[in-house]
Amino acid sequence: MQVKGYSMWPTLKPKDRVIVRPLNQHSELPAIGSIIVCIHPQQPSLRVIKRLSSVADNQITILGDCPDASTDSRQWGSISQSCLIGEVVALASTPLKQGS
Amino acid sequence: MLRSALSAIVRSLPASTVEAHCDGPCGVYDPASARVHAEAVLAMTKKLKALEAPASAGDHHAALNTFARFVAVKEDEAQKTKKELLILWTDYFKPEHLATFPDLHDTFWKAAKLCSACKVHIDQGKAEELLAAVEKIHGMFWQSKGRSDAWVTAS
Repeated sequence: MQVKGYSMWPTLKPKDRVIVRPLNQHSELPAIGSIIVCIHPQQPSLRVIKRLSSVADNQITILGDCPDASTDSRQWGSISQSCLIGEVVALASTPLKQGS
Repeated sequence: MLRSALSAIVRSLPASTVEAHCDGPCGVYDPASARVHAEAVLAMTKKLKALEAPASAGDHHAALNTFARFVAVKEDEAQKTKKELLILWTDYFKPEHLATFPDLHDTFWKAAKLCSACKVHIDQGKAEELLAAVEKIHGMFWQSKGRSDAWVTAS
């Protein structure tokens, strides 16, 4: 998947590619601190990438690494664990441009 | 080398988008809004400094009314300038821009402080400094978009 936006800066930047391991309801939950992909709780057509912050009672909280550029559980609150669709297992960074 | 080759292969593959996003940005930004309000601050400051004492006691209330209106507009325009600057600072500019503009935070912070100073005082020097700060931000903004739009003032 290709990253769009800055909410995971500086870990991920726009156009970075990530390889995502799909998860289903029977999968073991990723470890706290993992970068995960989930369904936007209010816009189901969107897939969002954040960091898993906590898990409790089938609810997860997710946060961006760059709070100033992120909408996440600070606004949404905890979201259903069923929104979780994958865990990032590898990253292919976009090379930085010279002079940028 | 193997790692960069693998990265190149991964990057060449088709990929769906995953949003590292912030909800609801319209994506329309322009420092012109801040410039118009900052110009108004300077204009009102000049008008306040040009006010003369009433010629007769009968003109006293009219003069007070004019003074109060000018101050109210100056403060309102300074607050609007600050709001527009904060939108650019916190919504438009991203951490990536710090590489190109290492003084970005300092520039906005000082500009916001100048807005406050222009509200508190009737200080033409501060109003001119504010307009200069907005001009600097105008340059940074358009440079970040790969453009070099001219700085044009309304007054």
